[in-house]
Amino acid sequence: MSAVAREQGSIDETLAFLREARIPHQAGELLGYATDGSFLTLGVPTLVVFPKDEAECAALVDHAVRHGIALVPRGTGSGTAGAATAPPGSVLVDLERLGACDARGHRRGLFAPIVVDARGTPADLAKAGPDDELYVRVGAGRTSDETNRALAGHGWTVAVVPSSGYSTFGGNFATNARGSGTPAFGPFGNAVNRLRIVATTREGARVLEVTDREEVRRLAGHHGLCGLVTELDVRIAPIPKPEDMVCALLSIESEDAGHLGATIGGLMKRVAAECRYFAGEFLFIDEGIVRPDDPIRKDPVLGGTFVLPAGRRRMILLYRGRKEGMEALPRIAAEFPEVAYREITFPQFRALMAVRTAATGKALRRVNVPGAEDFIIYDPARFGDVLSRMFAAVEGASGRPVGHHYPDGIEVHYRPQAAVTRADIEAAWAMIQKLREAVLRTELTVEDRKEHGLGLALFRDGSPSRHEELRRLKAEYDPANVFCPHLLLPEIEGRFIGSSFRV
Amino acid sequence: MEALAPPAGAPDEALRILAQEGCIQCNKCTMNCPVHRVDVTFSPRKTILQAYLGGSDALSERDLWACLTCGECQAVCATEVPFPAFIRAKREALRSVRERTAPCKHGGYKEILAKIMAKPNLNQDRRGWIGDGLQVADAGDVIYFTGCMPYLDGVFTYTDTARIGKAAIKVMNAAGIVPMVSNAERCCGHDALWNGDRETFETLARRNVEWIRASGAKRLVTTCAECYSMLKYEYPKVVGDLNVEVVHMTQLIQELVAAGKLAFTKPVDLTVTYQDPCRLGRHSKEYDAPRAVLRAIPGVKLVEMDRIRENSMCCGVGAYANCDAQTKFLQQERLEEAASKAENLVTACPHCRIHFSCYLDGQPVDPLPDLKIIDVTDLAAQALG
Ligand SMILES: Cc1cc2nc3c(=O)[nH]c(=O)nc-3n(C[C@H](O)[C@H](O)[C@H](O)COP(=O)(O)OP(=O)(O)OC[C@H]3O[C@@H](n4cnc5c(N)ncnc54)[C@H](O)[C@@H]3O)c2cc1C
Ligand code: SF4
Ligand code: SF4
Ligand code: SF4
Repeated sequence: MSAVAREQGSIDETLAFLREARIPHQAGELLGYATDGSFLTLGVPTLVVFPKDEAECAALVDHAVRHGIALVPRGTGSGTAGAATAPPGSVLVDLERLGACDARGHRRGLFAPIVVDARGTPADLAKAGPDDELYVRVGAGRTSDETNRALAGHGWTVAVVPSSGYSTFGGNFATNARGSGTPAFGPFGNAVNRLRIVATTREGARVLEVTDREEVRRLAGHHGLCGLVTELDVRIAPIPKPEDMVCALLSIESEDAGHLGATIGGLMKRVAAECRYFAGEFLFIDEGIVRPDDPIRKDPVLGGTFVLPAGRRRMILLYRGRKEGMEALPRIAAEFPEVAYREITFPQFRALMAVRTAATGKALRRVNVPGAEDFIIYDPARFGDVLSRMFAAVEGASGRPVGHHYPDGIEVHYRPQAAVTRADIEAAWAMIQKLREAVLRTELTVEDRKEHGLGLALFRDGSPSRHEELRRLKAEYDPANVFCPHLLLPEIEGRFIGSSFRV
Repeated sequence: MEALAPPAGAPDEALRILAQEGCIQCNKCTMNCPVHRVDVTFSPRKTILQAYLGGSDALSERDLWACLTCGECQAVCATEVPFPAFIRAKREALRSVRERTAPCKHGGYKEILAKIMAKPNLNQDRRGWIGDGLQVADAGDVIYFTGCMPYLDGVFTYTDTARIGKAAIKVMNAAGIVPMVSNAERCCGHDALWNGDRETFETLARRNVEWIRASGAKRLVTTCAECYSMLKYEYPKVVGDLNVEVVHMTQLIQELVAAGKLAFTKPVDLTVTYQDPCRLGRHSKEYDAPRAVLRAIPGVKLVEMDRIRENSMCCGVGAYANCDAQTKFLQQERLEEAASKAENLVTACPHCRIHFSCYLDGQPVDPLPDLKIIDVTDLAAQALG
């Protein structure tokens, strides 16, 4: 039997199983699932399954083990590492509904969260104190946005929230996402206390409950290699009262990116050592970063941020944290005479964060070209050097660098955008290679893609020790090797999907 | 990989609408789309990617009509991808090719009504519902554009939509305005436009603008969010300037109260929550006037729902194109949210009121506490001494 016929045979068997088990699915040439937030593709999947609970997951995994079918878990598909894309022959398992639906399978946008303490005992938020260590027990398909809506009335929030607040907790865990709250709580995996996962034996599915914190941390960033995570206990934190909070805007401008980076790098080092904060974010301002009619241009405090003398570059840095813990910030800023410091309100902070989020996305008639969009600089003293190399490499290209200041490093995101023509895309690819060569160097203490996971770039950018670690983890949880076996093949390579767009 | 070879042929207009704001494939739209919550296979992001790769005609019949065109996806999208405009363009483009139309819930009633309204030399009595004690005129500075309201009560017997019109006239009369109600008025064309029948929409727009311009009126008031969005934003694209200022009734009331020309003297002791209609809210960016009216009425206590303004959830039906069994779960979800805040749900669009009332009049899919659906203008009229 040819490989194609064998593949078709197992898809047919799986379809028959799904119909019998009444698990919703879609089959055919599924162009709409050909990529995730990475714009990378491994081809067009032909089957996507939408289990709604653990029982359906277990039945599906059992079937997969018995029939030797590869499964690729997918949350909401916002990941930027290509790990939620499926190679031909694999079955995509969309876990968005997991634990987020009623018995009929309908998602409810509003829900009453179950809150537990560190031992897993139900807790009452109404009686909770600000120092209590509490968790929400949520289905893996739930999102931070939904959960925060449910918690807001009680004055609590999910502790670690990536900018993609609509991504699933299952995805956040599998990529070990970072975001607001990371400076205080670490990456997402550190904020998970317990989980349930449908893993395999050589004979079929097994459902495991992982309660050991160290084991949970080991699993964080598993990239779907170990099983389908179905439920998690996710750390929550009280929302500080506005009067206890401080939001700060720091701004510096110069013609010299290296000088900007060196100054801000020095400042960040001091902030990391002397302040405790929830969020530290930065962006570079250019004339087009907000639309001419954007109301933010009229804001008496923020408007000036977007007016830029010709030839100069402005970098702005935003911090948010409790007043207690941020006392040193104005003093530190004052020690850097070129840095303008001002306190802003939370709505102003949010408005600037919206600019930051849109800055990476805005791509008028263009597509984002992936490649080196996410790197972390461990030694802030190197920030100036890295920035000057980066700006020299990306000179003239569209795309805007933005980033986070985490206490353990500076995370930079940069993604060029290209018009959908072969020439433009090839130019963007070439530029990315230049950028990689310029900045991804150990002597600069720069590492690729810490935040969004390695995904399809595991072998290109990951260390041999990371490969080994994932192999060991996989052997323990997935001895049947049904989950994303392709990710551990060194030759696997995603292709940029934008070259196939017909726009 | 074969399937991903770039297809030949120029992109169509609908695809151009999508492409002008680059989609970053983040899926935020889908996670905020009400239809996705009841049908996991429906996803704006998926549709966009499919269109990019395979052309926009690949859209399935289900995906074409299931979209409520509510605009929640666009409101949350970091790059503001205009998905509803894409759907509208696609409905328009595919209409002639495949001769398909919206699977209308009411035997094509609204579609037939619009088509009849587009005919020349119509002889209508559009004032029969007004009743005694209310003053309207054949001419004047202010037009009250009633929309399809006079024709709705024959079908949606459980709603008494005409009471919104009576309330509007009562409020205007109380402020010394005797509005013009014209027998020459036609359907605004909202459903025709959103369901892809541009020809009927444009005919209706031209017929309406003819009498509106000839009237010499300075202002045109609507109580319907759909009429408002058509006359204010879509007509000028087709017929140019209307020579009148188009206002929603809530904007007029807010203005009259602020100018001291209208006073609410009778308390209306109700706890209410407010449904932002898609056409008034996200489509027209008017969120404040209806809330200002509610705050001006003595006795009314406004308790907001969790999802409001830009993030408000749709009433479940857009342009009468997509009401099915799954719609009922959306309506249940939204009404549960409303009922958790108040006993009364106020809206500023007769169609939201119809769709919600219809749901409550039928068999709710889950138990619901008593909830009354009220139009904001009706509430304002109750507060007049
Ligand atoms: C606009 C934008 C902003 C972003 N901001 C951030 C940010 O601030 N910080 C950050 O860290 N990331 C960010 N990301 C990347 C992405 O959102 C995160 O990686 C997110 O955690 C992915 O979640 P998802 O539900 O989309 O998962 P997917 O992308 O669908 O999947 C990601 C990985 O998780 C696995 N997976 C998903 N669910 C399960 C499950 N239940 N069980 C087992 N495996 C599973 C998949 O197999 C895959 O390996 C951003 C992305 C976008 C598009
Ligand atoms: S929210 Fe906007 S950018 Fe994101 S997938 Fe949807 S349309 Fe694309
Ligand atoms: S317009 Fe509304 S129903 Fe249509 S895709 Fe967008 S959010 Fe969903
Ligand atoms: S909800 Fe609206 S479209 Fe559906 S049956 Fe009722 S009135 Fe008709």
